[in-house]
Amino acid sequence: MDALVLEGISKNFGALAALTNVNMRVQVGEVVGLIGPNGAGKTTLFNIVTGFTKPDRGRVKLFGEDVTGLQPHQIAARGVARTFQIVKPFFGMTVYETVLVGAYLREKDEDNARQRAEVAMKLTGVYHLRNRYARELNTPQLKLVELARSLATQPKLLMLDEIVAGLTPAEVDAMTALVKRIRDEMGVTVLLVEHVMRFVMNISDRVVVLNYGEVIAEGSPSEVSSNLKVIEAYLGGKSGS
Amino acid sequence: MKTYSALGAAIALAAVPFLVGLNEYYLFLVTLILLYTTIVVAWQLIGGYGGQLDLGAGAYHGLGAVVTGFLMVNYGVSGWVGLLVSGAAAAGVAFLIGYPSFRLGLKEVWYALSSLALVLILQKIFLLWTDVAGPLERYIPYAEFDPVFMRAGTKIFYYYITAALLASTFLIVSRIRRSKTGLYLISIRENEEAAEMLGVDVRRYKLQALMIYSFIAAVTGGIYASMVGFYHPTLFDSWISIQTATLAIVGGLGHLLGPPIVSIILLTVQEYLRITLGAVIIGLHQVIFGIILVVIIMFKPDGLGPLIDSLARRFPASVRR
Repeated sequence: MDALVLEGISKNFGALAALTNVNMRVQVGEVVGLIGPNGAGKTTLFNIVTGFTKPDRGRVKLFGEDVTGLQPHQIAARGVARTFQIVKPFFGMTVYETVLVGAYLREKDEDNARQRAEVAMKLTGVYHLRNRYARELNTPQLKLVELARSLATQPKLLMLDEIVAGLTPAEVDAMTALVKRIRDEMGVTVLLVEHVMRFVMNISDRVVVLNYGEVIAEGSPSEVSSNLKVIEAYLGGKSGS
Repeated sequence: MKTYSALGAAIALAAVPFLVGLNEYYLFLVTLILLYTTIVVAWQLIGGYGGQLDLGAGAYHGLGAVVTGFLMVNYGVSGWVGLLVSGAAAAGVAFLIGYPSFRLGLKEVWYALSSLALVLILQKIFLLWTDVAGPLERYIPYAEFDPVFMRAGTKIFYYYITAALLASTFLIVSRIRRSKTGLYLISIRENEEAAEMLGVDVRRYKLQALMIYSFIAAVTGGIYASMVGFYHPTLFDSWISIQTATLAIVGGLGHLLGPPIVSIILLTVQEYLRITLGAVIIGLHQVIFGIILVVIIMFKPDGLGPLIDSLARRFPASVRR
């Protein structure tokens, strides 16, 4: 079964074609890495899936349901959670309150929501920070809190936008293990955008490469990393040098 | 401890009329202070938690006065019914204004200005709509003491209605603050996109906050009209909008205790200055009041809320010891 299907997605910002006829599938239980040079359209694609941006053409399907044009909170209700490339913390709230906001999506009862929030905080290792205000935390901690509040919504599809950018190699490895646990123990499908190859290549079952808004390659990490088009996209084409 | 402070506040509110010696003029002033404080407390929902700098208070307050007054004057409808009807009418108007505003994502100064425009627009509409209001004051039938009609010759009657309204507004707002709705509203204030991605229906919650606040603001207007015995389109007063937002900000955005305490103190100071200095040099009291506000914001940019919260935390501890 497909968790996410993109059919012929195109999006222009003025004269700039951010995405051109993108077709893509993410199967339930997969970890899919979405890579590509800066400006390739990765974040635009995330924004389209989560409803922040409307595509000019094409359809978005989640778990078999056409969700094109729905608002982000409706997408969230259908089981999608997302972290942001630039963290979007709730500075004036404690970590506990922040994660509780996520937990309330599926737990209407306060006690259950609190339990759910605590589970998510413990899993991501921010439980000891629960009474700290977000404004007191550093970026790696904020990224974990963002992951915790996403997990508290009990997602079926988790979308991570550069979750390890700016982390140390040790932190990257810890995040790799964490995302694997999320997939294996919670059965969450993961779609991630990433520049850190150490992370993407370690964790992804499949990698999709975007360049100038088009899918130029797709396959296992090893297939993709030996693909000539991908190497060109990253290092520049022969004709250009 | 909480029960004691609630009890203390209730006794203090109940004792005020006797502290001012049952003087009708002072009763009128303290009732006004509590009415305006009620709006400040309700404003926290949309401004302090929802993060929308709303300047529509004067519109909802005026609507409450006009609708309640109109029903009392023209149909002899009890003021109590009038309060509910006008509250519903204000919530309806808030919905009509809020729905497109939040859909378009109006925020900050743009939302502030458009909500302020509502005050001026409604004032003009009711000035021209002579069947309901018009340029002449409409007088509400006098009654020496008619609690069913909600009309009385003594201001103490209105004082206690207002005190009860302030207390219940405070309870409603503090309950919402602790609920899922309050948490959602604060997450919207902190980061709208992140909240939305966690499943928060941003528009719906902002609209809810706006409607509850406008309902309460209208009720204060209805009580005001019944107390002064007339209504007029000038009750659509943009000064009330500014005063509400100013006091709520100086009291501390999103703080529970700061805004009502600061609001009661500053409104009292304002009235005191007006009485003592208002006739010495015209406008002098407003200059001094303005300076007080500026000084507070200079030294406490987050308002007095954090200070009051920490005092409130220290107080029970010292009692226990």
